[in-house]
Amino acid sequence: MPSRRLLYGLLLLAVLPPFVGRALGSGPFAFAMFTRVERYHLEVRAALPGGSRRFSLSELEPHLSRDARRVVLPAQGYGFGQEQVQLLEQALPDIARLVCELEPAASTVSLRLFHAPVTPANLRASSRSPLLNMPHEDVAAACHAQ
Amino acid sequence: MRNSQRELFSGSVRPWVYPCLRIGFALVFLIRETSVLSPFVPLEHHRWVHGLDFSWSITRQPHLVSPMVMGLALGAGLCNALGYLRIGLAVALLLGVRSRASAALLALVSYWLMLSDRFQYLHHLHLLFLSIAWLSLGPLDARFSVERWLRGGPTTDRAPAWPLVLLQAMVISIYLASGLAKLNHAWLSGETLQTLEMLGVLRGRAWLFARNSLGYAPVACAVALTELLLPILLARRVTRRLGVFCGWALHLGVSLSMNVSTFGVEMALLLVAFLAIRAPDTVLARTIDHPPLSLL
Repeated sequence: MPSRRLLYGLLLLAVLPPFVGRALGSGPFAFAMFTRVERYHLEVRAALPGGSRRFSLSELEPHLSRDARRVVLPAQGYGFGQEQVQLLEQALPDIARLVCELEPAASTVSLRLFHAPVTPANLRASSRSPLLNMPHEDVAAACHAQ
Repeated sequence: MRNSQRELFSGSVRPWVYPCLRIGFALVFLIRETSVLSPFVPLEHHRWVHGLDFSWSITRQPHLVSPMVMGLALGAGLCNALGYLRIGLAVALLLGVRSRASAALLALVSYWLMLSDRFQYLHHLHLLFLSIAWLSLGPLDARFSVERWLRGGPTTDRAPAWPLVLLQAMVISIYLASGLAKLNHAWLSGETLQTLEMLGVLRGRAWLFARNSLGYAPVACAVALTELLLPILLARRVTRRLGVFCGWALHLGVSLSMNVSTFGVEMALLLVAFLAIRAPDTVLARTIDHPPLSLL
């Protein structure tokens, strides 16, 4: 049997991760299990010499992994989920980098991720004004265009 | 205090529990991480897993590089090679060949693949890999092992309990974390369940029966209460079996009402760890000094 100190260390390692995950506000690793449903929408714009261009997320499709497609592409319209929003939020700088590579003439790329908790009431009303009062995160990346 | 500390990890269990969990998790792994059953049984993951899970699926360069942990991103060749390695390790685990090393490596490689692309994270996969990682500490080849069968050697009647205690602690913490996360107005009022139903996530006869019999809020409260009670039931020796049956009922109900992939099966398997009866260390010593008739 290992030493008592090691066993207690292992016990903490077995018990703490879901609570640490929750304390960090992270969906992944927290085992919150369907306790919060969010709706999300992503807009991507690239600043080009002739003006800005809105990027369709479907243009990214061949450059994404199968699992990234499952989370990113629904954001063209409205995706739903709990962990998905946090995964997407954390991936915004990576997506910005990818768009810079795909659009070499772009000087900057900006992404806006809208997300809000879903309730039966706002789900019914969503067809009228989907983005109304939805909080959002903005990420802008310089592309080092020549 | 010192006695209770000693009691927490000491003692022994019948060895069947470790190989039972080993075979169960190896089978779940092979079923979930491949599409091997797709010609026979349609499972949820067959919609997106064709061949091996996590195999390279990007069709054009440049590609999105977004690892969950910096430095873990993979290229196509290594990603596919690790995918095949995992299947070899899972088969070795199933057969009981170098079980502990196979389990540890399988968990390590699986986490590397999952974390190499943050979008590959799913709760049930995390639980699967985590369970295999903790299992690697136990004597997994005590029974039903090809390697032991080929090599021969003595079989023991008891196995150490401490690896099982760690696995049990993990299960209890998952129930507690999940139950605590549900202590909010949106869940307890039944609003979250109603939303999940409107989105088509909750469906099926079991769900309709529960909803029509009790209503949204009582079902939500019952689920939260069960998840919070389970750690107490499972931690106490006298209520442990009741806890196991409550847990199985909970996962059966959830699995019948929504797509949770292999999560319910994994939790149901982990509950088996609570069925092993722990005996004090003296039993092990007594067994060696005075072997029971069945061993003679």
